Amino acid sequence: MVLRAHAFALIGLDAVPVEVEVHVTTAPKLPTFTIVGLPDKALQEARARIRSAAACAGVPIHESAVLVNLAPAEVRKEGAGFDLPMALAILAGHGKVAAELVDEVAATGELAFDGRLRPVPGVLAVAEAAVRQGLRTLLCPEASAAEAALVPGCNPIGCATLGEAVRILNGEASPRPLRAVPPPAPPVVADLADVRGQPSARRCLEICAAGDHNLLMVGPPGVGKTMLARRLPGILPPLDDPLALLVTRIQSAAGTLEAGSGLVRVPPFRAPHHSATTAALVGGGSRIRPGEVTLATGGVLFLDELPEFRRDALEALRVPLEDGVVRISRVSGSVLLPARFALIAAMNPCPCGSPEPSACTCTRGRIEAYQRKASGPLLDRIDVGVRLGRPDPEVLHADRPEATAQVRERVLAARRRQAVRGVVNGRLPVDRLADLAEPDEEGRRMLQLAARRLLLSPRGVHRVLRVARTIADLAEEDEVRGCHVAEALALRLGSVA
Amino acid sequence: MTMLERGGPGYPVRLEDLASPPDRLFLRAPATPEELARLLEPPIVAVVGSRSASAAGTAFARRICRELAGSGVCVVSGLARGIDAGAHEGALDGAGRTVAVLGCGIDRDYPSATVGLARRIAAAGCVVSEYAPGTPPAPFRFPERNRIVAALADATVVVEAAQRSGALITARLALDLGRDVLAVPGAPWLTGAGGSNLLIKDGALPLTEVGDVLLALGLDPGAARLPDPEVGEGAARLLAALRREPVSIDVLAVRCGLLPAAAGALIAELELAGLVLREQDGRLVPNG
Repeated sequence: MVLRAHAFALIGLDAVPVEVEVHVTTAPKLPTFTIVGLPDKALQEARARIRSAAACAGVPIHESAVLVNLAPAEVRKEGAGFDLPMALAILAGHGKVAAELVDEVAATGELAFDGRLRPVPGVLAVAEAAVRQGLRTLLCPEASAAEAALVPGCNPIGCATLGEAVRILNGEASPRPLRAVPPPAPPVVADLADVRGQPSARRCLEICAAGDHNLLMVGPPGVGKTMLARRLPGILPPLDDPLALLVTRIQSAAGTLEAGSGLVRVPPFRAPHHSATTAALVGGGSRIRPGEVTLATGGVLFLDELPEFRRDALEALRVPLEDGVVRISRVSGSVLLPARFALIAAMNPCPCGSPEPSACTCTRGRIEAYQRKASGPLLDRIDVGVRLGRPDPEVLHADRPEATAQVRERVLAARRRQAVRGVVNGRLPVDRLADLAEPDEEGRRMLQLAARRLLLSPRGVHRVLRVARTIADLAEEDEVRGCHVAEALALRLGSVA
Repeated sequence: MTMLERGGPGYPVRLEDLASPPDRLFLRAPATPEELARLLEPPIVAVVGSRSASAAGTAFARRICRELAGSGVCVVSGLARGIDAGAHEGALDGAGRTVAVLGCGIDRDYPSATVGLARRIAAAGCVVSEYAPGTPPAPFRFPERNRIVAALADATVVVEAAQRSGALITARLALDLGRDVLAVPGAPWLTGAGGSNLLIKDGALPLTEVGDVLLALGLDPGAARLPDPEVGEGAARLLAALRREPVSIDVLAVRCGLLPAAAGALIAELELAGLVLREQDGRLVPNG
């Protein structure tokens, strides 16, 4: 007799249904355990985990001949999430649990040797796929139940052990109520008020947060570039419902979701090291994993030491920056992952990174090569540039930085004005600029002058206009005036790179 | 390409003042000796200086050369980065005459940073070298080249030069030839001013405006200086503060009691008017 259970394979951020078919012979001439259906190494090793866990549950399956098929056969199955559904079907084959009951539920979870259930990544996606399949009950590790409960229509049953899952299915134990896992301490987002002595850089950060503009900071080490970048999530608006669910799903699939965190509301902050490979940045690997651009969705991607990143890695960032998505193609198929983030890039003025220009040992040629590398693929998509120097004592003394909460109020107000127009300024299409960001007489005159005197390209003019629109929004003004254009011109990228 | 031989037609007579005049000259432009003679009509001024000059220094070179061009003076320089490039650009901006003397073959795209500029000069002025086409650039050729720069000009202007700078060699050669030398003075704490200040101590004429050169050439200094463009009251106040001391925008905002946003807008106004430049380290400096 063939027994069935319902499992799910994670592909990118989505789960696809996988039917587990099991054939059990209880008194064979030779005990065997075979898994077919493109299992990966971790899944092959499920045999050892299931045998041991079953033995602990009192079922000696090592004396049986077990044949497991994972359908559809051409989908690669990876990871340990198949342990629980396979084990349940096998136990049904041994008459420990009713086969019809196993056929009615979805299941996911990794087994420990003693039968305990360990959490697996992607439970949120699995729960969504299960509901789509009409499977409302999801047996899952206890720690993952709260995550699955975020999906409307899903009834997750958290189990501590394989034995408990069997008893619940048999009606011998009642599902324990969803245990309220204490939410993790809210992440400490450092306050903008800590960044003293860099008032114009703080202003830049506020503009970038308000209009979703990408930012490049140029300055010697130790002047606060990283400090500033880390404070951007704090002034970004909190994630709205659809975005929060998406970010939660991404973190769930990546296995970085903290137990009990519920929907993630804080914009993520990702700061990959400059040695990161292309696959690490945009996603990939033989098993398709979300990269940093996807993990930063809804939040901030901070690239420190921008010119030190590999050229191909920077090149690969173009599409996500342009389209907000990244397509990863493999022999096994292609996956579209979200990748909408605010880019904050930082670099030293020269490759030696000396704190004072006078101590710099770089040749002209090296400095030019260094700056060219940064300017190649990405600068088209960066609207705002700021140069940071060592904070001057005079500025340190006079500077009274505002707190994150104060700045965020203005950012939120500016975002509300953009929401009415239906598009954030950082992504204003060129054809709507004339409509939404047309400057007044004075502003037009400045732009014409800038095109001539500062050699501003037409594309550069568009970027200045987008930033000017944001500056006007921060000032709660409907019209883009000359002073807004002027400030945007002062923040143009050409001023730093 | 045109080649001129020493003693032949079109060979600039001034080069005969040198202890070792070049035997041959190779011209990328102009095409004929007659055109060269027109380009090399006095008055001629050599404008030289550091390759790693500040933005302010380069802009000053550009400005005085534009004004020299407006007074009909030909500008000679070495087509290097920094001051040299600024000098050629200024002369071209002023629709004037300019001569670039190379330290390598005229067909070499060297230095790479000024390839485009070389093309512009070839179209309107003179690109010349004593080295046969194909000769690669080498450190010892630049001082040799400098003697031609010095010999062609009535006066040599050093805009920005450190204590050990090729521009000082040009200045010494000019002195040896009995030509005038002018230098732009700088504050003693600026490394880029050490060489120019040294020259002034040794008797070079200090140059603070284009009139100083014109006076040295025996021309009327009156009309050359172009008036500053008009800016608003707030911007003018910032400019005055920057003329006292070039500082970063944050310091400037503090000193003028402005928010960074307002200061940024006024700086943009000054930049657009061509009155303020940004140095590599982020400081804002008045232009000219």
